[in-house]
Amino acid sequence: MTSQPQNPLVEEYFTDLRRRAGRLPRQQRKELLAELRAHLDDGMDAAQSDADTLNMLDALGTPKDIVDASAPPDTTGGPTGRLALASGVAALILIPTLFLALILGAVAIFLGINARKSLRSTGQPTSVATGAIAVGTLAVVVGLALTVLLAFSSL
Amino acid sequence: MGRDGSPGAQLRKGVLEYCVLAMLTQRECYGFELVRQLGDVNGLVTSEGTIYPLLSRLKKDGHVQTTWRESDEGPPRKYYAITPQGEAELNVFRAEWHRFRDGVDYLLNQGET
Repeated sequence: MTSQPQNPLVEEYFTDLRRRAGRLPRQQRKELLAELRAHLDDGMDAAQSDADTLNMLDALGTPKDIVDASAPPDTTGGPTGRLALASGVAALILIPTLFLALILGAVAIFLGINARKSLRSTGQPTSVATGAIAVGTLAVVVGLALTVLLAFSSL
Repeated sequence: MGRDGSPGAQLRKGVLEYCVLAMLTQRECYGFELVRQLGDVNGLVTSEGTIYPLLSRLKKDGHVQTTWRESDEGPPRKYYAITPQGEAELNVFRAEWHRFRDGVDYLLNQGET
């Protein structure tokens, strides 16, 4: 385009603008940046001092205001906000599941222990009962671990 | 958008696009001159840069159209011109604005006595 010597104030402004415009749809971003670039170039043609340049940038407004004006404000909270909400919802859904896991695990352990006692006393193999205790213990341990993890991640 | 609660800000937001159209009714302008002229009108624009997104929207709505023209001062320039639809919109606004302005003036003057 024009062979404008790079003015650091202007370049800093434009870099900030380009970064913020990243959230706009591609075509809109291209147009906005082209318009602002042309405006800055025209303005620099007329500027005779750093004060002029600063006044031009002040009059333009902040890159944030310009990009905000280009797009409806991100009411979903942005990608991070949406991820946060999804995590919260997943946590809520998992909580009853975890309680179930803990309860059923405890039930498995309890029933397994009882079954082993009566099986032993009648000399029958206890492998199933032992297996139940093992699975139940695993469920309780994993359930507790996940509960603790969730508790920490929601902090 | 902190400052935007002020009465001035709300007013400006509503009428700015019609001010742009009114300016273009006279003749087509390229971005820089349009923005600068609007900026010169006292109290109308706080952030000149936001006029560009406004122009994009006007173009999308069909109230404004753009043409590239050669310029002897450098690269081609994008010129904005009002469309017949834009003219129609402006006329509707003009009538409403007069009515509105007269009504508000009347009430404000009453309140001053």
